[in-house]
Amino acid sequence: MSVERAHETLDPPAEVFRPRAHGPAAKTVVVAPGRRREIVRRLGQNRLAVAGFWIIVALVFMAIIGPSLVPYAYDEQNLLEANEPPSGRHWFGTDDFGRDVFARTWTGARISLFVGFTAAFLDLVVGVVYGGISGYVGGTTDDVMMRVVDLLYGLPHLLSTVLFMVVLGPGLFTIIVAMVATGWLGMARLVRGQILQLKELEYVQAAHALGIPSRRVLARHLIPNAMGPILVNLTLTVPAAIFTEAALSFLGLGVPLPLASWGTMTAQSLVTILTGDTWRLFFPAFFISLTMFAFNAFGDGLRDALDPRLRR
Amino acid sequence: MTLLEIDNLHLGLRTADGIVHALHGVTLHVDEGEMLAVVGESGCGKTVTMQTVLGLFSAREIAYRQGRIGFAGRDLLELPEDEMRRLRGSQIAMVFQDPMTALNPTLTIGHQIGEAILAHRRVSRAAAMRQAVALLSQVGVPQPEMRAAQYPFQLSGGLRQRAVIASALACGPRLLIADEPTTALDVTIQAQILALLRSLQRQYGMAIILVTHDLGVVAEMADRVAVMYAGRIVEEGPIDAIFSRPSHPYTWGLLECLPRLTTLRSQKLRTIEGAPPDLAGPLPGCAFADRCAHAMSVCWEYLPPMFDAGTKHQSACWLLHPHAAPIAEATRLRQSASAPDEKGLPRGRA
Amino acid sequence: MTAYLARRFLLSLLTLWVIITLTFVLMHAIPGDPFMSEARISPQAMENLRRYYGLDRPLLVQYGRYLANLARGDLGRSLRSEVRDINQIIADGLPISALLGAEALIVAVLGGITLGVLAALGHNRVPDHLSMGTAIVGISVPGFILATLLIDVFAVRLGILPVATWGTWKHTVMPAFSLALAPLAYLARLTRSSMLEELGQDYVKAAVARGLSRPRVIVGHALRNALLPVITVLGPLTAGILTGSFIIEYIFGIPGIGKIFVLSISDRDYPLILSGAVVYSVLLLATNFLVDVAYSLVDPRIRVLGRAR
Repeated sequence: MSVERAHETLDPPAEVFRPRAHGPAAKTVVVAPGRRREIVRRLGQNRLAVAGFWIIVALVFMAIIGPSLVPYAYDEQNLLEANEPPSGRHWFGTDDFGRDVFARTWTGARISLFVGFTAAFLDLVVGVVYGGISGYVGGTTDDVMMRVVDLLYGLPHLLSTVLFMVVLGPGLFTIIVAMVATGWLGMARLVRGQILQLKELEYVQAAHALGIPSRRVLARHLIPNAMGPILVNLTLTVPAAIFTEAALSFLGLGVPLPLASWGTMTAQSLVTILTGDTWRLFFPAFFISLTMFAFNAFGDGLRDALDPRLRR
Repeated sequence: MTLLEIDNLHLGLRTADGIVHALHGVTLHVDEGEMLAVVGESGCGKTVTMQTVLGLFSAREIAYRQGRIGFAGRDLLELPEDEMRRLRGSQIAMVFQDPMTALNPTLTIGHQIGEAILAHRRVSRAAAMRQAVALLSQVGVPQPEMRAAQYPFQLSGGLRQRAVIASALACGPRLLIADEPTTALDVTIQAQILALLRSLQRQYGMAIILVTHDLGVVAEMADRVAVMYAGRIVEEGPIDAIFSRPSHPYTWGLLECLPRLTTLRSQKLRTIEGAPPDLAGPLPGCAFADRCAHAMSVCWEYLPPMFDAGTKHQSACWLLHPHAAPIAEATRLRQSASAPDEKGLPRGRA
Repeated sequence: MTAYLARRFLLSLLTLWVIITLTFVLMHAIPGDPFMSEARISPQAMENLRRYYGLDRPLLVQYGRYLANLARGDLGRSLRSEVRDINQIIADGLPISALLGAEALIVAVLGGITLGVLAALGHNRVPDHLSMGTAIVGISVPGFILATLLIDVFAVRLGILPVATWGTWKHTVMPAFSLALAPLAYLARLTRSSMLEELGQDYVKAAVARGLSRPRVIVGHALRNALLPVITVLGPLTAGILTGSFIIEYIFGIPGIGKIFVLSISDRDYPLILSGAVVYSVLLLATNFLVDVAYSLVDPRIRVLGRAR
C-alpha cells in the first residue's frame, strides 16, 4: 500500500504524458489452466487425500508382493509354532494353527482389495448402463426404471447382501454378486441424475441438432462429463465393499476357510482378547481400518477437488 | 451535513484462491438525506465497499484493512462488534440484491421483519409482529396480515423485495444501502421498487446509497453519482455534471453503453472492450489504462489522483493534468462526437 | 401435505410387499429344503415335517398362505429354536434391540450434530480439525473392530464394564457406542458441510445486517436450515444402526433380534430368516415414513406446497 501512496504524491514528468499505443486488455489475459491439471493440483493440496493415495498404492503393492516375502504359505500350519508373538521368524507372529500372520494378512489384503475393486467396478457397469438408459431415454421408460430403483432402495444394503449370501452360499464370487445385487442402485440414480442435468446443456442439444447419433452423443459427451461424481462414488464404494466383506466374513458368511480374509482373521482372533495374544487381532483390525481410511480420505479429497464450491 | 465518510479505504479479502485486493483507497461521502448512486461493472468493489461499511466481513475473511469509515462522528472500523451490531439495522440498513436469497426460506416474512425490530427495541413479540404488518402495508404489500404469515417462496419477486425493504426500514435507519435492489427483478417491477425507494426516502428523510451497474436507474433517481472501477472511485460529482460533462474515459464508456432513443436500430450497442484487471496482483498505475483509448505512458506508471473537473466534480484521470491538456484536447474533441449530449440523456426514458 | 404423505405411505407398503416377495422367493430358491441335511430323520417323519410346515404345497399356495398369516400378524413357526413361535421370539428380542438402537441413535445424532456445528463454526481451526479427525476415525474403524477394542480396553484390561450379555445400563455402554460411532461420524461431516453452506448464504448476511446477534443468527437461521438435510438422512442412518446390530449383538452376546437373525442364518432356519427380513423392513420403512412426516413438518416448502423440493 505504501508504494501506491508514494506515487500519489509524485508529480510525473511531462514526457510521460504522451499517448501510447496498445491493444485493449493486452496484458490482462489470464490463461485458464487445463481442468484435469487443476483437479490434480487441488487434490495435491489436500494432505489427507495425498496420504490416502499413497497408502492405497502401498497396500496394493504389499498385496501383490507381501505373501511372497516370507517362506510360509498363508494356509501352512505348524502346530509347534502356534500363537507365537511377532519375531524375526514370523514378523506378525502366528495364529492358533501356527500359520504365519504376515502371509495371511497380505493374502487378506488381496481378497479385500479384489472384492472392493471388483464390486465397485461391477456396480459401475450395471449402474451406468441402467442409469444411462433411464436418464437418456427419459419419459415412461425412465419413470418405470426409477420406480423399480426406488422400491429396491428401501432395502438396507447389508440385509439384502446377507439374504443373498444365504441363498448363494459362501465364497469369494458369491460375496461380490450378493453385494452388487443391490449395490448398483445408488450408482444408477447418480448416473441418471447426471445425464438429466447434462441433457439440458446447450452443446448436447447442438450435437443433436447437427444430427449426431444418440449413441455417440451418449458415449462422447454425456458419459465423459458425468465422470466426476461417478468417480467419487466409485472411490467411496471400494471401502464400503471392503467393509461389507469383512463384516460378512466376521459373521462366518464370507470367504470359506482356510482362505484368509481380514474379517475371518478378526473373528478368529476375538478369543485372544481373553488369552492376551492380541497382536493377532491387531494386524487384521489395523489394516481394515487403514484401508477404509485411505479410500475414504482419497474419495473425499477427490470430491472436493472436482467441486471447488465444496472445498472448505 | 456529512453522514457517512469513507476515507482511503483499502481492503484485501482472503478467498480460496488467495488474497484478493478488493479496494484500493475508496474515498466517498454521503450527506444526510441525499441519494448517492455508486455505479460500476460487476466485481469493481461496490458491494464489498458497502458490506465493509456494515462490517459484514468476519475478521477471518479480512486479510488487511486500512482507512476510515466515519459515521455520525465515529469510525466504524474502530467500533467494537457489540456496538457495531447495535448500529446495523437501526442506523444503517441494507437491501440486498436478490430477494430470493436474502430471505430465509424456512421462516415467515413477518418473523424476519419482526426479528429486526426485536434486535433493537424492547418490545413484545406480538408488538413486533403488529409493527411488521404495518411496515408491510407501508411498503405497498397488499393483504399484509396474510403475507406476514407466509413464507418467502409464496411471494413473487417484487413482493419479496418489498418485504426485504420493510425489514430494512424496521428501525427507521438514517442510511439505507440498496445493493442493486432491482437487478434480480422484472423490468416493470424495477420501476415500482425504485419509485418506492424514492418515496420512502422523502418520508423518512434518510440517506440512500443506491448501488447499481445501470446508469439508467441512476439518471432517474440520484442526487450524486460516484463511478467505481477496480476498487477505486474514478469519478464523482452531481448527476447533471456526470451526464453532461463526464471527464473520465471509463464514464464515457459507461454512458456509451446506454441504449438511447436516438440509437439507430442498425447501430450496434456499444460496449467497453476488454475486461477489468485481475485484482490479485499489484497495479502501479491507472487500472483502466489497458482498456482506455486515450491512455498515455503515465497511466501505466503513476496512479492518477483526483483532479477537479468542475464544481463538486472530481475525476481520477491524467487527462485532466495540465501537461496532458494539449494532447487531451484532440481526444476530447473526437470524443464529444460520441459522448451523450443533453438530448440523448436517458432521463427522458422514464 | 396429507396427499404427499399418503403417497409416501403407499410407496412404503409397496416396497414392503416387494421385499417380502423377494425374500420369500429367495428363501425358496435354495435347492432342496431345510430338512434334507437331517440324516437321522426317517422318510416318514420327514414327510410329516414337510406337511406340518406346509412345504408339500405348491409354492404359490405357500406364498399366499404366508401373506395371509403375515396380514394377521402371524410370522409363523421357527424350524430350530426351542421357542417355535416366531412372534414370541421377536417379542422377546425386539425391546432389547430397540433400546440399544435408540441409545445408539441418540448418541449419534446429538454427538454428530454437536461435532459438526463446532467444526463449521471453528472452520479450518482447531475445533474443525479435532471434529473431522474424530469423524475420519469413525468412518475408518468398522463397528466390530471398535467393539473388540472397547472390550479389550474397558472390560478385560480396566475391568470397569461388563463384557457380554444383557442386564444393567452398563451392559449397553460399549455396544451402543460401537453402533453409534460410524453414524456419528457421518452426521458430523454432513452437519459441518451443511452448516458451512448455510453460513455462506445471503440470508445469513442479511440477518447479520439487521443487527441480530451472532448466536441468534447461528441458531435461529443457519442451524435451523442446516438441520433439514440431517433429518433426511436419519432413515438410512437408522438402517445402518439396525444392520450394524447384527454384528454388535453377536459380539456382545446380546439376545436381541440382530443376534437371533445371525443365528437363524447359520442354522438355516428359513422361516426365521424370512421373519427377520420382514421385521427389519417394517422397522426401516416405518422410520423412513416418520422421517418424511418430520421433514414435511419442519420444511414449510413441503408443508405448504405438499411436495418435495
